Amino acid sequence: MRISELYGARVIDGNGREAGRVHDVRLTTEGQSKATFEVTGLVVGPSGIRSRAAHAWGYAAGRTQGPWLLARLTREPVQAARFVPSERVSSWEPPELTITGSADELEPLTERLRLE
Amino acid sequence: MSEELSARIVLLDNQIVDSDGLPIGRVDDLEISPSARGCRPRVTALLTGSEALGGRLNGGIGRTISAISGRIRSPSQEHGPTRLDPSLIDELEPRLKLKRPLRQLEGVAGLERWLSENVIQRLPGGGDADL
Repeated sequence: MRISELYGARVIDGNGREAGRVHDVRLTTEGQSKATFEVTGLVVGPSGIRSRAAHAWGYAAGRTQGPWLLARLTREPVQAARFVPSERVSSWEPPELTITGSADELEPLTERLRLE
Repeated sequence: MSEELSARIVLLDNQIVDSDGLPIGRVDDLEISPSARGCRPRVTALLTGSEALGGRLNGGIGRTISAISGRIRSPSQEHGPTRLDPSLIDELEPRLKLKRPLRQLEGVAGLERWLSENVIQRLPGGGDADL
């Protein structure tokens, strides 16, 4: 499976409700070695050009704060984004991924950014 | 110590340089291994080159890019996009630096090597051009 296949894939929760589209994949490296990248989870959110811009330009990763107008336009999709831990993904078969539990239980991405 | 990073921001489209700092391509895609239920998938390869990029683009343009770049390769090279093992990575940012020089990376920068051998070196004054 390629990571590009995951981008834009629909994520369906255990109740059959759409949780959003995959906008990013979060990885972790072990120690100083870059030999191992594990997928810790997926960032999902609403579709649309503002949402795509928020994730493609680093606003949703906490890496970009300006310019003001773009930050304002991307604020809403960043706040709507949720983090899906890999352990909750029951099917990794794009274009549709399924997760266990309800989409309402997913952690807001903004909360996760504050923790990091 | 583990560090969480965004694949889209840190890896995808990032410039790859060899251990000497020579630019050799970009990260055009990542290969992820399937995992057992409840386990985390792993990145098994960085994919680089126009064949990998073509796979990322939808429709006829992407297929055409992949098909053309798939034909321009040495006979000894494996089919499919160029794969780099994640263990080759030395630094991630600001550029993805590898632990080895290009001459030790078989199959990487295939189009550039082909152009060097078949076009540039045949030009007057281009005899010592090498990758």
